[in-house]
Amino acid sequence: MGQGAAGRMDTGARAGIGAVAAGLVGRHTVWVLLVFLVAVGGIFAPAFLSPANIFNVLRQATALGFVSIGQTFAIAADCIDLSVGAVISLTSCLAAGIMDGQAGGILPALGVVAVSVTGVGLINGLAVGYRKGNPFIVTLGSMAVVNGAVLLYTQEQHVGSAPPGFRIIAEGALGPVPLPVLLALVAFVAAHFVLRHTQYGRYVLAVGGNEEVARLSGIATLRIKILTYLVAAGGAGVTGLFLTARMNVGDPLVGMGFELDAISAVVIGGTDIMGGRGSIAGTLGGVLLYAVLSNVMNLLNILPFSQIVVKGVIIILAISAYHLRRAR
Amino acid sequence: MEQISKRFPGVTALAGVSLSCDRGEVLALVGENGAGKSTLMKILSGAYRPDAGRIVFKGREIQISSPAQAQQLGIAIIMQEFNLLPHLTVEENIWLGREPVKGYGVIDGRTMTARSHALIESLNVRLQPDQLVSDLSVAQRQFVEIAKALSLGADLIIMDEPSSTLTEHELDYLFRVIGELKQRGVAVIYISHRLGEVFHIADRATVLKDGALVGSRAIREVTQGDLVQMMVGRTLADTFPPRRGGERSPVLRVGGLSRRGVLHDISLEVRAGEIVGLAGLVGAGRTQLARAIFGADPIDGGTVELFGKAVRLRGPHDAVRAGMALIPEDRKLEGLIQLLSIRHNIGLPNLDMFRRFGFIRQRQEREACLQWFRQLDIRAAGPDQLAVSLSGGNQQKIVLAKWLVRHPGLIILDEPTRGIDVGAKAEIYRIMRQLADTGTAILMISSELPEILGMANRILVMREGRLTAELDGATATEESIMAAATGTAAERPVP
Repeated sequence: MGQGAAGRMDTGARAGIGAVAAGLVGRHTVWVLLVFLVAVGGIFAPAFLSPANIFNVLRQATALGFVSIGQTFAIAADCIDLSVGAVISLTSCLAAGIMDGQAGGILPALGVVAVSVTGVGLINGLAVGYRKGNPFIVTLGSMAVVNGAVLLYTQEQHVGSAPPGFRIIAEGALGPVPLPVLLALVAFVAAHFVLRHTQYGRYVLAVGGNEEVARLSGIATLRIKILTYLVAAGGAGVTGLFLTARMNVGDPLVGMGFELDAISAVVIGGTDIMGGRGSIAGTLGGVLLYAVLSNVMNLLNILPFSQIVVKGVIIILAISAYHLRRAR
Repeated sequence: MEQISKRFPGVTALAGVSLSCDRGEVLALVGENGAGKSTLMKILSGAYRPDAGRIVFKGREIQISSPAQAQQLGIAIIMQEFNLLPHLTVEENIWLGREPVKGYGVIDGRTMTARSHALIESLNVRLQPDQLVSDLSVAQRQFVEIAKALSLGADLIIMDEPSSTLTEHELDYLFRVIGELKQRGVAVIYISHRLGEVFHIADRATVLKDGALVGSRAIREVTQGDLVQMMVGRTLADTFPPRRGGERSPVLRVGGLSRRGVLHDISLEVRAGEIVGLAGLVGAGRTQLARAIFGADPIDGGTVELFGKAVRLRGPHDAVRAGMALIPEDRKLEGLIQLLSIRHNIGLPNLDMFRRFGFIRQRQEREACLQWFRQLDIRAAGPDQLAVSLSGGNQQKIVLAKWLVRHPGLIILDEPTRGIDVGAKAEIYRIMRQLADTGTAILMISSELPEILGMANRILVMREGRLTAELDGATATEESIMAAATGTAAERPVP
């Protein structure tokens, strides 16, 4: 791409700058965009850079963070998971419904959530890995099933509430740093190490890169796919629990749209939508970009519907930057 | 075609080949795998351009620059893989892109059906214009292709291995249709390495070998033996390291391996320190046998034993754990993950050896890579270079390295030197010989007879999913292998 861009430039000096800029944008698109947005926010909305607002942005980012971590593994393994939004709603309603404000309900609620999240992940994984279903179609189906079940169970009403002991995960703080932000940070670091430095992480990239080569190399690809869907569902489950604590209620519609936001954050972060390449650090950037974008637009009083349009444009821009890089 | 030459980087695929085919004549084009038959036909059909030579068609010198132009000129090629859309009907396929219309783009279905009927009847085959192509047999699909070629006004029809997937009965039918074409004055070039068919249908046979023309003979004047001699008659290249290895203990033992329609009751043995060559024509089931032994394809029956212990073949991971390695035919699609680094590719089957507390010890992995870089003389910028950027020979060495890290007891190599240059070939041979000398059992599939003859201690020959001969590597000849592979001579039973 550097050479292509250079060829269209008139002078050597401009060509050099163009190539450097293109290279920088290509490799670090998400961070360049983030810095740009922070600068825009800082200039046009003075409140943006206040510590309180920064922590507010980070707290907003945590919900998307957990589910996006799971989705990074899923997309890197070429096992995209569209059911994560539904799993978030399911978790929220199950947890709040079972706890119903009682501290004694926390453990049973966690148990039930763990079992049901595992169930969804297992079914997705078996359908894709064992029955060779198309990941997009399979998880589109499980998304509908889970969403429908949640709406049946709740009759479209909010259910239950969270006891104070549970709300700590959303409201607690260590000094000035909100507890959820710390938890998310730990999760990102751990996920980064798993993807880069463990056997499972390598196998995820191998299965996503070329499943047949992975299989012929002696990798139990079925196991990797099942595990990956468990990770994806697990990330969604944590997001669901976190949202329950923050909103103090079980909401059957809370997860709606999370699957698309998560996929966008992951892909903006440089994970290849075709699988084989993934970056947890990039996903962190994508999640932050999303949170900052919403926050800045809110501060600038941009209408919600316009915000959706802006988000869409940013996704398209970011992805074309990565494609330009790959074409090089 | 006169003096056609075609070079690809590193290989001369065709060196000054000439051939001719008259109206109403069936010309058989025969030769071993890799003799240049397909390249020649791709030039005729416009897929490749020749580097030198000229093509005269119907008395006029022509340049064929694209498949579409070949079609316009009246040259049709029927490939092994059909160019039909399975979800459309026979008539929709025949007239695809040239449908008779009433105006405003509305298709004139009645005219289309009538014309299709006429075409099909003139060929004297049983086909309905409104049948879905996906419901047709392979032979019937060929007829659709032929009908399509005729509807385009083809004067020359090239058929590339048309019989390879046909049953005997279907073949008779195909021959009748070819006879019909002859009557109409269409020239037919029939590519096959089944000599029986050639003698049945062709008027003349042109033999290619190693990209050069051996000769062209009227079928009436030659015997099958003459043609085999023409196809293989060459001396052994002396690039092969000396053969060694005596009687040692068996490493692999396969008993009665079967897969319906693909493999029939195959039993074989590979001993430590031995290179066993697996010969046969393309489509004989050699790759399928390798994949079945490795657990990559399901089997219907039979046993696989490694070092005297039965291997459960639920998948390749069982085979790998038992100590097998498979180096597949298609490096790009099955051997390496192109967009991962060399290190990640080499590490892929071996992470159990590099991990501690669940984490991969990257430095050890890197050192193992560098060690194999030296041992196999791999030329790469470093372990973190992407696999996709390497040459064919180096890629093949990476695939080898990936498995050698484990020191497998049995290595199955499927066409180990396909598409790599001569220098790298000799190196691969040297590595294989070294491995055998240190006690590794090697099963090598190859379509290059000199390679099999030069490397193998024993040679197994497959035809149509069965083992048809076992030959001694020292005394086998290209003729004896080809005879067993094509089924032309009396077969020697497998002991």
